[in-house]
Amino acid sequence: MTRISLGSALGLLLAVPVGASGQNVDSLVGVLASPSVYARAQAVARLNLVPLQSLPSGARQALVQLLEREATGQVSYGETTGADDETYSEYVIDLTRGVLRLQDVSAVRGIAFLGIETSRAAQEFIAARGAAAIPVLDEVWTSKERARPAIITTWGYTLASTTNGLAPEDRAALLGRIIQAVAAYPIPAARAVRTASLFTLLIPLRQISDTATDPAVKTRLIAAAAELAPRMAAASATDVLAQLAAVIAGICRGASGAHQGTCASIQSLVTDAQRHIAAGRTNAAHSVLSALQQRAQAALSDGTLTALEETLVVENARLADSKL
Amino acid sequence: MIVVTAAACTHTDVVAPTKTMPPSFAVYVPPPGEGGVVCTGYLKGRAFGGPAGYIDYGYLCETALDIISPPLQAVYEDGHTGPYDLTVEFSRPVAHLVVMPVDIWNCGADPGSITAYAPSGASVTLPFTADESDCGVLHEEHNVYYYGDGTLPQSLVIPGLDSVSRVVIRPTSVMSWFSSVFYPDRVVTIEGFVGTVYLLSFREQVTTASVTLFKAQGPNDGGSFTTRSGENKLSLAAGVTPATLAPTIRWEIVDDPADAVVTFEPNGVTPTFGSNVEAFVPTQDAGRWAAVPHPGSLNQKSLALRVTAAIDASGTLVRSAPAIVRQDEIDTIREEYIELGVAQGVPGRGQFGASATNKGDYTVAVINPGFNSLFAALQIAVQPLSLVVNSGYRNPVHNAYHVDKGRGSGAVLDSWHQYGCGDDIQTFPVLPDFPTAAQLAAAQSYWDAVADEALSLGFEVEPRDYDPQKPHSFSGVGHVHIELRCPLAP
Repeated sequence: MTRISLGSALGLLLAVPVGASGQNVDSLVGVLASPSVYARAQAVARLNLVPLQSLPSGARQALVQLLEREATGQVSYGETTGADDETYSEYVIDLTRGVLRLQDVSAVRGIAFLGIETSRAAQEFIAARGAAAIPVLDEVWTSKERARPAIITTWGYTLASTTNGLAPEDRAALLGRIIQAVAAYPIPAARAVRTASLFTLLIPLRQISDTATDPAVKTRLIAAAAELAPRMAAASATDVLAQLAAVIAGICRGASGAHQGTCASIQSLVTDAQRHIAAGRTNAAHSVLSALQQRAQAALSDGTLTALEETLVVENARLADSKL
Repeated sequence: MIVVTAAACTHTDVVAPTKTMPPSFAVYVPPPGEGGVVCTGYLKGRAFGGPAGYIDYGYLCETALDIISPPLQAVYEDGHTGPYDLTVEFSRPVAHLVVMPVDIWNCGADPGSITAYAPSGASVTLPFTADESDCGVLHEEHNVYYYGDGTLPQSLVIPGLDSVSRVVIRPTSVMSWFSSVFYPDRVVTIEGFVGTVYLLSFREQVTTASVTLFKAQGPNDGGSFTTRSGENKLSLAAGVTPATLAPTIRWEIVDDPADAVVTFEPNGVTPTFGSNVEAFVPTQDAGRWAAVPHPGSLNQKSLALRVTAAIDASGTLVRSAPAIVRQDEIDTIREEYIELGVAQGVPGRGQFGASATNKGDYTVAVINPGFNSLFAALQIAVQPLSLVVNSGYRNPVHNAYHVDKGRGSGAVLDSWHQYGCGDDIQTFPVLPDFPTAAQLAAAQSYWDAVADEALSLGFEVEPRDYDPQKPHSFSGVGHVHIELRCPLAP
């Protein structure tokens, strides 16, 4: 185990003054390979001060590669550090920050595996990659449980993005993942709901907050509901049903058996309601929305929808009905 | 000297002077009185320190002696056309004047006199005297004879005047005469000359000089400074009486002995002498900080130099009252960034102010309005939770040497805590050493709630949980570390 003192690490870097000269940048890039996290941290901090236009491609590559190697456990961690020494975690923030400013698509893995826990900018970087980043996030989800809250939040940004070209099936997949995450990860799920403006989840979130005993969770859900309420109020019946259709697509993605039957039924009813509203057939729409509520309640009884899913369908159908 | 040889004449043919005088040996009398310094000078020129015979030609007195009439050639008169009166002025009044003619005068000649004038115009006239004891005395040696015909002038003390600014010397009346030496086979006659060479001694008052420091300051507000290039230039200015000594002002800059800091001194001043000079505070020893406790006092941290201006007043070094050039509190903190080489650089002086989250060693901290505004937004966003910052601003020395790694978040060399752009927010409930599952879950939820809002607002956040590959790669559930990359000072 290598033990490098604070003083020697400091001394190493003091010899490398902050500046933008090529020689200094090259020296700093060399320090990125140091076995000392203190030295690497100092080198990254200094490289982050070099104006982007002065950062040569070699330095950019070195930063991207270092983040990915850190993210995937390829850099040894031989330091003896204090129990609460946060050098590494602040270094990761710095390294992520340094890589993000490059806006290099090759940094997706490093950002996804390590950076998304540290900043919204990192989460939005991944979100901007759209469908291309979803498999990487799935990989992180499986291998790194502690990153799941950040992944859920990132899903929200991915849905909210208007420029990432996300296909409807990918959108449905993310919606389904977010709804599934509400129970186990209510705080990041609420954040994703807010970010993606999923006002159709307003009533389910309210119901969960009503019964939540953890004050921190409760306050976050209340905050999310407070943010969604005016959006819901402003939404038309058409808006509600459009988002409900997308949410149901997420719930029903990959459904099979009885679940598939329920999904087909409620999706069909939503489509019918949208069609009636579009044609101005209000009474018909009322009828269909009533049927949709009954169908969802039945699905809860037969176990093909969860309580959350049932609430989501029933309450939004009722809401859309009230807006007609 | 002219030598005339005459034959057929013996020593008995010479009429020897008959006047005899008791011997006197007051050829040199030192200036009477006490005090000041003894100065001695020949006409004409600068007086030097020391009495006659021991004149220290290395030490210049303040006073110069100037023959103002007749013209310079009369300093040594030719013996045939003189004598001429010599009028001598002193460049400054002198006291206890003693005039010592440096020559041999002719027996029977009028020794002359001197009139001394005080600056007030008062004067005193005194005759010179000479030791005539050798006059007419027959000298014989190896059958060679001659009669003494010269006198030994005596030093003349000028009494009655407190100070003298001018003297008029009337030289002896006989400037040349013939002397005969009788050899067995011939007589040699020699013409001797008298020079108007006088040695003037006096006591020169020690210059009533004073030096006053007008300015001794660094370039920053209040005269503070740092060792950073551009901020390490000390400007020094002094006034002196008499003003003519201003170009000779020398400067002494030393570590202030009154504090507990060893401050490396500037390597001289530029220019070397003068009333307005500059000095540059050199790089200091960063190792000094390791021994400074938390929170310590400025007396243990601030660089300080004692500055004194001095002049050489007639051999006496006259110093000004010393001035202390000391770093103020803000520059003392900024010096930490310089000496510890914190990567993000040195905050500007204007970035410091009072901070409620200051956990450092000083009464002021780096204030970053952008961070604070965002923090206020965070506080609003997490309501009704109430945020408690358990570690906000840390000055670099506190960050590097004091943070208790068993309790705090640990020292990170380039931490944004050092720029008012990092906070550790306490989570609740505060966990005991062995928390219950419910306590832990509640603290985790609190952490998640704060981190969620912080990330959403644009803060950067340390991960909460343990990474098996990296033992200390997380903030822990005890606090949420938030930070921003803040704008840096130019």
